[in-house]
Amino acid sequence: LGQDSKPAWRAAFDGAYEAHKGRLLTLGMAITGDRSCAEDVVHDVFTTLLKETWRLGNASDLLPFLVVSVRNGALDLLRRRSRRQAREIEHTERLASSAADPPRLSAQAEEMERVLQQVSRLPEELKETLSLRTWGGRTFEEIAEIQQVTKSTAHARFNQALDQLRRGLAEENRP
Amino acid sequence: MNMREMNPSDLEEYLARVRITPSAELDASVRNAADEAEKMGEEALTEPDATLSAINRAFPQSGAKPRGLPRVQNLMRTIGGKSALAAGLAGLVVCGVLIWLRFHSATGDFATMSAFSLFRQACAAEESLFAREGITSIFNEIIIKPRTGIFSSLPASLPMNSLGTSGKFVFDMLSFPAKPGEPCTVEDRSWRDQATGRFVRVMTIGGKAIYANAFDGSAIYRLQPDAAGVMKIAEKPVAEGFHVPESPAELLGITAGFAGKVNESAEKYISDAGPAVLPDGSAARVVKVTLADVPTISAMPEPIREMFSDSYSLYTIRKSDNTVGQLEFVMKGQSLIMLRRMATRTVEVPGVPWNLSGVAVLPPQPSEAPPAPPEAPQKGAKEEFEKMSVSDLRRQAVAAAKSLFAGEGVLSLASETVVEPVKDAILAKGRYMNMRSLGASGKPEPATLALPAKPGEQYALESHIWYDRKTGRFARVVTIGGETIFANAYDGSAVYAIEPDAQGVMRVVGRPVAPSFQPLKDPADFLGVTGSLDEDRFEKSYSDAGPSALPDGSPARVVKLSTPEMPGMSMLREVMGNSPYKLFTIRKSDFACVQIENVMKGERALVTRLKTAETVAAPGVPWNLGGVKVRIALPTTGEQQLAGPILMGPSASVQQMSAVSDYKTYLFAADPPWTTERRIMALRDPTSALSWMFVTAYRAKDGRHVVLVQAAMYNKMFEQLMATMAGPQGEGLKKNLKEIYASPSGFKVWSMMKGTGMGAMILTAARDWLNAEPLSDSAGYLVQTPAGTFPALAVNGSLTDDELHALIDSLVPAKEYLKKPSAPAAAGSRESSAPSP
Repeated sequence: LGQDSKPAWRAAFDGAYEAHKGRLLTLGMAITGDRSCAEDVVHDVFTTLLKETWRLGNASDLLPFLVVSVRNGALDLLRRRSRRQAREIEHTERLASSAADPPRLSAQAEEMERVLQQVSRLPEELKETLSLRTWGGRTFEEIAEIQQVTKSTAHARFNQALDQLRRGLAEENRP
Repeated sequence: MNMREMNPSDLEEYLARVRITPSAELDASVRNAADEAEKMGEEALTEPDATLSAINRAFPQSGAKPRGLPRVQNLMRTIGGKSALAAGLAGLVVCGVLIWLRFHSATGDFATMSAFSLFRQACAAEESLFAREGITSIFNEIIIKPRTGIFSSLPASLPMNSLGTSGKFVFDMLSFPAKPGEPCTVEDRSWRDQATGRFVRVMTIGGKAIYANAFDGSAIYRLQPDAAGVMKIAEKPVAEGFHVPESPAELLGITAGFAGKVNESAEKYISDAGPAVLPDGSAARVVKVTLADVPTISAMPEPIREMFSDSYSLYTIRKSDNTVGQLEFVMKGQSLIMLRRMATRTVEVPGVPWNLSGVAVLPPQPSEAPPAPPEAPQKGAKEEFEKMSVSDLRRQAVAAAKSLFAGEGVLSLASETVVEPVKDAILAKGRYMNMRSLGASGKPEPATLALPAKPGEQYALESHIWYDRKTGRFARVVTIGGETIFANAYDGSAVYAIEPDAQGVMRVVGRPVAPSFQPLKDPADFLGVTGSLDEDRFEKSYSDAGPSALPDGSPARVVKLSTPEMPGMSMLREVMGNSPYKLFTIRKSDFACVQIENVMKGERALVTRLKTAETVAAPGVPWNLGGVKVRIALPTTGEQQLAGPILMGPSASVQQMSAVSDYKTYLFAADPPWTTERRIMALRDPTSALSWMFVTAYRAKDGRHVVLVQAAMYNKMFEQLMATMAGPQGEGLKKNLKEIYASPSGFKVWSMMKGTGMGAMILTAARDWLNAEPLSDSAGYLVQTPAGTFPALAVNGSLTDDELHALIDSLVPAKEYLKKPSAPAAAGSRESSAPSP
């Protein structure tokens, strides 16, 4: 009954959040390298969506909108904060988080976060290409449009990103 | 996982599986925000594109008209003058664009928020300027940029919403006295009292007003031409029921047109144009609003789409307060006008009295000034004739023509126009001359003298003009085979013209002149003896076509006027070809323009030759046209089979409409009960292979004038629009263009959002004859007939449902209408008795 009494937009909103939150958070984290920053970005994007709930009526346009919004929000966050500030914030928040929420992440989740942090260290254009392709679900054509480059450049950047990421992760795992 | 051993495709696969699970805090935070929004009743949005009623909700009672879109109308009007074609096109465009533009509010971070959200915030910020207590003072600078290329021959102008006495906006077209190649700066100052709604807006150049509109609490003041055409501040008390506009920004703001809310679909046309710095050093972002790809426009035929290519507005939005600091209009890639917000503040008293007292008015600029006294061609100039520049040659010819009308006695001018044999069938069928008839009000009324012929066919018209230099009386008759096909005269107390009677029989009709009537100020211009040789705005389009010799051996020179490339020219190419031009032959001995040759599609289409210019004792016909033999041949079998000229207008007959139209035409079986007089105006529609466009106007006692426009172009465009609506791209249209009535006889009526200017633009087609200003929120409807045509209907005001239904129910095909009255007279001619005015 409670569900039924919700306005249509609310049901659509809840559905959209559940469907896309993981992908968007992963995208945000891949760009910022910082979980809390990524959560801030995702929160802001969905708060904006609450003011523009008409977007919920067009399912095919919704995900691209959310992806580009998270990408823009994440990049802007990076630009506004120096990496040092970001690290300080991360450190502070981690301490607070640890204090408030002692249970540790699973090993698998930890590994995923570590990979994403490695992604976030890639040069910006490579990181963005990889993220939009992998977690944003964008085609190379769409990425090329977003980045104002040719499709082949977007494709090359993706391969380069994978290569650098692989080497970075290998380096990290080197005993 | 061993990353070292992972190949790129494995890594890609692995990454795709990577998902971070949001923290409980994020889930809770988003859920809370959604709960809050739900409590606050965020409804949006479930009907994002909603209906026309949603638009009315977005523009509640304000009579608001989109300002950005009238700029499009402006272009259309510029192209087509005051023709119904231009008006109709513009109306259509306004309607279409409006369907896609609507606002809501939004918030977000300045640097990251979408251009769409930022633009909406800017509109809201503009509105809030006027919500301050006290008197809001706004100072803008308007920079008219030098116009080049296709715009050098077009006037710089801006459509304005002025406040009328009813409290509704009236449409004003403000022309700036700016020469094409030179910039011009206008100061635009407004003051508005939030408590009382009083306001004053004045635009000045060098301290002299070129535009003014004010409300002092009891009367409306506007700078407008008086009966003699002199710009003066006119005062009119407000009408009963007057209310101040609910959206002051719509009247005085820089974002006028967007004072309500913008449709989400507009996001596609609102884009980020990057960061910027305003002249005062403040950070800003530029938002681009482009109309070229609006679906309704892209559904239109190519010539119309072409006019909007590379045309947009740039809004520079200040970071500190989200207000618009600068607005730039770009048409076809050329920046034409820039508005700069110089200051906004709250003041104790307005800088200009609420009643505009003491405001000095800018006198007419040279190009608009009354014509200088005619000068005879200068002595000594003859020696320079061969070397004279085209510009000087042209001016000498115009001066020579004007000088004919000075002095004493009766001037007699006789000329011949030859409809030349041409091969091209469209050209042969479609040639026509634009005529002007002096109306009883002193305003010229347009008429079209169609000159259809079969390919290879030729005929000639004789034209005579008599002008009494002392009294201003004149008579003009155009004849073929001794029968008059066009006539216009003024005998000192009445004007005369050939019009059809109720049976469609052409006869001379006289009308006493109105008290404000004034004799011709520039008879040479009105009677058209120099053609378009005196168009200074086309200065760059004139060129030297070399020396020539007249049949009698006397020397002459030829000046060529190429058609300037203007927006929309491609519309005319089917008819005129790629490079139509005119050749003016100027005689050396007296600088008389003795021949005008029109060349289209590489063929000589029309040639007019001056035969005699002399002073006579008396006119060849009475000043009241008594006794002229009027040609009354009626077209009865379709235009293709017609031979010889047809006069269409100033008032066309139902018989003519029925006979010459290549689509089924309609009119009301009985005139709307609140109207007193009907006039059918017929125009050539160059966008539809010179089909005819009909504007049927009904003058009303209560101001609710009715106009029905029918055109092949409308039929084509609205048919496409309907097809778009039926397709996958038509969702937005479907929700906004609502069928509101289906008549028993098979007519459907589609509403055209009130307040969008659509109705006003349709009414503009008949503005001069109606002698009324179209209200911005006039009702506009699209009618779908059983024959599949799409007349556009407008009422200068509003209709009740019953009135609308009665109107639609009374629509009948013109051919059926003709069965009711007595049958039209057969072809022939009759002699006019002296008509009593």
